[in-house]
Amino acid sequence: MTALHDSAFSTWIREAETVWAFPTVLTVHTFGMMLLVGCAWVMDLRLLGVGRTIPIGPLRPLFRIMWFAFWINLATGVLLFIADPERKATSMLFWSKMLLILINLPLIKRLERAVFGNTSAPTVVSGGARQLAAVSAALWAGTIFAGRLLGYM
Amino acid sequence: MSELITPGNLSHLHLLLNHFPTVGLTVAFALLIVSILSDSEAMKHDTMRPTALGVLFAIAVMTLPVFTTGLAAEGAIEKLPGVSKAAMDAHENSALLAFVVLELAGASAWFGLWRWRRTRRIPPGITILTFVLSAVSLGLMTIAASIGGGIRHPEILADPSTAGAQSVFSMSAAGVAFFVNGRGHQWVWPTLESAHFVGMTLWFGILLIANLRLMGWFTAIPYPSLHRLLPWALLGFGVNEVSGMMFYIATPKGYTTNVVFYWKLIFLLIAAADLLYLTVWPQAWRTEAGTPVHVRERVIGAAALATFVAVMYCGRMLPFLGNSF
Repeated sequence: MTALHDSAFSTWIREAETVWAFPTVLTVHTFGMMLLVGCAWVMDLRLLGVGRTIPIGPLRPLFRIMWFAFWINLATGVLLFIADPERKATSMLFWSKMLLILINLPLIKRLERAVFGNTSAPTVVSGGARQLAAVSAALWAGTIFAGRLLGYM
Repeated sequence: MSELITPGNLSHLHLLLNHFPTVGLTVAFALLIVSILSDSEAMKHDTMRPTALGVLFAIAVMTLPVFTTGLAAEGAIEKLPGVSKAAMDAHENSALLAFVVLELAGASAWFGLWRWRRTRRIPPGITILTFVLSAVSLGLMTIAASIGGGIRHPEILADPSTAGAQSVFSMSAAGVAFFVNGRGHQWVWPTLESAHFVGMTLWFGILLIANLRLMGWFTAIPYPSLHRLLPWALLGFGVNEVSGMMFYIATPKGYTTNVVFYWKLIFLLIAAADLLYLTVWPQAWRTEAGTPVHVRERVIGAAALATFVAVMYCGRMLPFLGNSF
């Protein structure tokens, strides 16, 4: 971790006197979060029964947008880790955030299968899908809290 | 634009904008009273009352830069001879309470408009609530404006020795600041930041899909069904306004001299206008599944999405661009 911290790339992201280093990586990470969690809220709200007249079938592309945003945030997240590896690797908050994401990713896969597994135009939301949506939404909120607190602790 | 961020200009801006919560609120309140007293069904349900609620919502939004430029104006004149710090604090504290009540009135007015779009009726309960909140905020705004006028015009005070006396109708800005970053409150700022991000993703996600629908994506979804999600976007805005104002009140100097903060405010006003558009726009409401999309809706939607990105960019870049923190 110390070697990584002292590497030229890590030092550049962390210390370069340009907005194109750390500030831009952090901002792109935030854009990705808006897109990923923003689309997740819309999907979860609908599955939890807000806006019951919204047809569920056409919402499916939201999952594709969420995965697109996830890969952006994985890439920018790795860069942010490289910029500050020692503090992050020893931070409980950081590992809590990783754990929350690792639980949530398969949940999202299962949620998509639970809703769209049998039909492309579902009309009813099963109790299981509702539970998955509620847990997934709570995990996203937890992920945002852990990530944001990480900047201060 | 940073050369425009001078104490003198910000003071001037505060003096210009403060007509929104005083003169503007009076006009909105008068429209609301006429629509309540009128026997005309059209005035109640089609014309004047929705207009009154729309103006009230706009005034509530425009009061955000009034409050924020007020703290900048304080920085501009606090060292001038004859300016009383106590009078400025009294003005700020009474303005804060008036602002909070006006924002509640604006939220209530928005909810009335949202219901009106769906049912062509504004529920009497919402009309009464909006009336009471706007009446109270108009009274509080009058007190705040009167104390504010006395800061540089002691001649208008009946008894100059009362300059700097706190009004009983006030909310302590120093108390808010202490709650946010006082001793032993280290957990408050990071928690508010987290809430700020949760609120942001909530309003962004909902306004994103609503705008995308009007731009021609998700065409199988009738727009009126997405309209049902809009109160959750307002909730996200509300969480962000409360947390954002707490940051601002706790550390005003990090913002008042930072040009990026003013850009964020400008983009935020445009984002609020987009929320109003999504709430009441007749062509949007008539966009059923498969309805072809007008180029006007595409342009408005694209501009709105660019604005949201700009709000977020300015917020995230506040500490890095400009000179704050």
